[in-house]
Amino acid sequence: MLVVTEREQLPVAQAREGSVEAWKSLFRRYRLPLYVYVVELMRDEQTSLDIVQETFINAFQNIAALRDNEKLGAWLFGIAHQKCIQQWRRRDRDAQLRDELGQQPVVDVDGPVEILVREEQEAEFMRGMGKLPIPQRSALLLHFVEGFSLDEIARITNTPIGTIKSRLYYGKRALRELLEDASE
Amino acid sequence: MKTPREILLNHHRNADPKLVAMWNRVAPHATAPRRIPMAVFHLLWRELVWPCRRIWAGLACAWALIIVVNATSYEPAPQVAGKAEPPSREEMRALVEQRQLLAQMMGSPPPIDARQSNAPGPRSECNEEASAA
Repeated sequence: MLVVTEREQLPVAQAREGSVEAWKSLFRRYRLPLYVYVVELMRDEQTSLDIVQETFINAFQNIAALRDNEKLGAWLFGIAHQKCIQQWRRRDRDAQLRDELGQQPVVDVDGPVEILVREEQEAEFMRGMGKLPIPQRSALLLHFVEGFSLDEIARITNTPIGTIKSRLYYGKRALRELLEDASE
Repeated sequence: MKTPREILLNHHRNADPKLVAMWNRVAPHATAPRRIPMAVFHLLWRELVWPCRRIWAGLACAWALIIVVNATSYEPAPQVAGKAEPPSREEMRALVEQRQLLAQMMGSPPPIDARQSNAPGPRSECNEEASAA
C-alpha cells in the first residue's frame, strides 16, 4: 500500500509567509515525484527538469492562490501537468496523443486495484509504463507516485472522474497483462 | 515485492543530483518579493469575499437595482437661483413700503433705506459743516 497517502506535516503555512527553509523542505519532498511524473510523460530529461523548475517558480509566485494547505501536492502536480500540456502545444507534435487527454471512453469500475511488482519484473514494468497511452500513463503515475485519489487526479488533469476511473482500469489491466506475459 | 512508487522513484533516482542543483536556481525566486497586490487580492478574495459570496452578490444586486431605479427616475432640478432676474424697481419699492408698514404696525421707527443712507449728501451741506467746525 502507498505510504504517501498518510497525512504529512508540511510547512505550507510557513512557505506562504515566505520562509525559504519551508520552501526548501517542500522542494525536497516533491522534487523527485514531480520529476518522475513529468519525465514519464515527456520522455525527455532536459525538458522535464525545466518543467519541474518552472513548476516550483510558479508555485513560489502564486502560493496565495492555494486554498487548502493540505492540497499542496495536488496543486503542484496540477501546475506540472499544465506545463506538460503547454510544452506539447509549443512543440506542436503528438497532436493525436494530446487530444486523447480529453477523449477517453467513460467506464465505471469498482475502484483502483493495487499492483505489486517482483524485482525481476521492474524493467518490464517500466517498459510497460512507457507503452501506455499518455492519458492512462498520466493517471497511473499520479496514482502510483503520490497516491492521489480519483477526485484529485480528475482535478489535476482537468478530466471527468469517470474518465479517470476508466484510464486507471485500462492502464492497470494493460500493465498486469504485460507483467504476466513477462513472468511466463 | 515492490510498489510501483518505489520502482518509479528508484528508476529516476539518478536525476536527483540535478534536481538538488536546481534549488540554487529556484531559491532566489522563493526569496524574491512576492507580487503583493496579487497576494493581497487572493487573500482578500479567499478570506473576505468567497466565504460570504451570496451576501456580497445580494448586496451587489441591491446596489445595481438602486442605481437603475435612480437613473430611470432622475429629473433635473429647476435652477431657480441661477435663472432669477434682479428685482425690478417697482418690486423693490413695494418691498420697502411693506417694511415701512410693518414697522409702523410694530411701533418702531421705519427702516432707513440703505441706498438713501449710503448716498453722499449735497456738497453745500458738506461746506456748511466745515465752516461751522
